[in-house]
Amino acid sequence: MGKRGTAVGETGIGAEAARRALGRVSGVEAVARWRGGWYGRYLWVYAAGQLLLVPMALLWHGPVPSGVYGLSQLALVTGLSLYALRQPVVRRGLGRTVGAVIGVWGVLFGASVVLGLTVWRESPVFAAVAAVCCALPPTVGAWCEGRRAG
Amino acid sequence: MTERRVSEEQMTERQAPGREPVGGWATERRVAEKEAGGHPRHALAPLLTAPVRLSVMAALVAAEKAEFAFVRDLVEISDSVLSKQLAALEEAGWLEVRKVRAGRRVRTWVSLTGEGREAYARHLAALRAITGGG
Repeated sequence: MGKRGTAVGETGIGAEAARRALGRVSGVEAVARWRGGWYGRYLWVYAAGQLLLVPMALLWHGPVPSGVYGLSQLALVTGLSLYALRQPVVRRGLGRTVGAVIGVWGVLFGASVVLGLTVWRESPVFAAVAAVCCALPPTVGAWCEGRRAG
Repeated sequence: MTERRVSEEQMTERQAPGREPVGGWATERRVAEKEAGGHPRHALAPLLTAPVRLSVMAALVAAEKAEFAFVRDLVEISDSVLSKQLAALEEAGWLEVRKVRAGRRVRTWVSLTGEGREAYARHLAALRAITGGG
C-alpha cells in the first residue's frame, strides 16, 4: 500500500463482512446526522420567538416597550448563539442554509416593520399576519433540517 | 476516469521515477488495469478496512467539521486510539485536524478533505458491490 492510502490491496473481504461494515457505517452516519441537526432545534425556538416578538414590535410603542423588545430580541439571539457555539458538529452546507433563512427572514421582518408602522399602524390583524410571515422562514428551515437529520 | 487516475497513482507509487519496474512496463500496466477493473474488493481502500477508521470517516462524512470529542464518543474509542487513527488518515490526506482557541478552551476540529470523501464513497461503493447490492 502506498503512503496516500489509495492503493488497491488483497483484503479478501467477504459479502458478510461487507454487509456488517455497511450496517455499522450507516448506524454511525445516522447518529452523526442526527447530532448535526441541532440547527433545526435552534430554528424552532427562533420561529416561536417571532410569534411573540413581531406583534410586540408592531403593537407596543413607547420607550419602555421598545427597551423590553430590544432586550428580549437580544436575549433570544444571544441564547441561540451560545447554543450554536457549543455544538460539537457542523453539518455540511450549514452556512448556505443559515444565509438563506436569515436573508429571507430579514426581508420579511423589514417589510413587516415598515408596513406595520406606516400602512397598517396599530392593526392586530396585520401584526398577527406579520408574525406568521416572519416565523415562516425559520419554520421551513427547521422542518428541512429535521428531514435532513432523519 | 477515476479508476484510471488511481491506476496511474498506484503505478507511480510502486516504482522509483524513471526506472523500469520488475517485469516491465507492460506487466505493471496489466496488473494495475486488472486491479482497477476486476473483483470489487480491489476497489476497497486498505486504510478503510479497519473498522475504527471506517467509522471515523462515517462520523465525519455528513459534517463540515466535528469536534474530536464528538467523534471519540460516537465511535466509542479512547483519545489515544482516535489520535492514532486520525494521524493515519491525515497522513493519507483524507482529513484535516485543526486546533482553534475559544476563550480558555482549545477545540480540536476534524474535517474530511475532498479526497477523503471520494475515497470513502469509492470504498462504500465497493462494499455494496461485494454484497451484490451495488
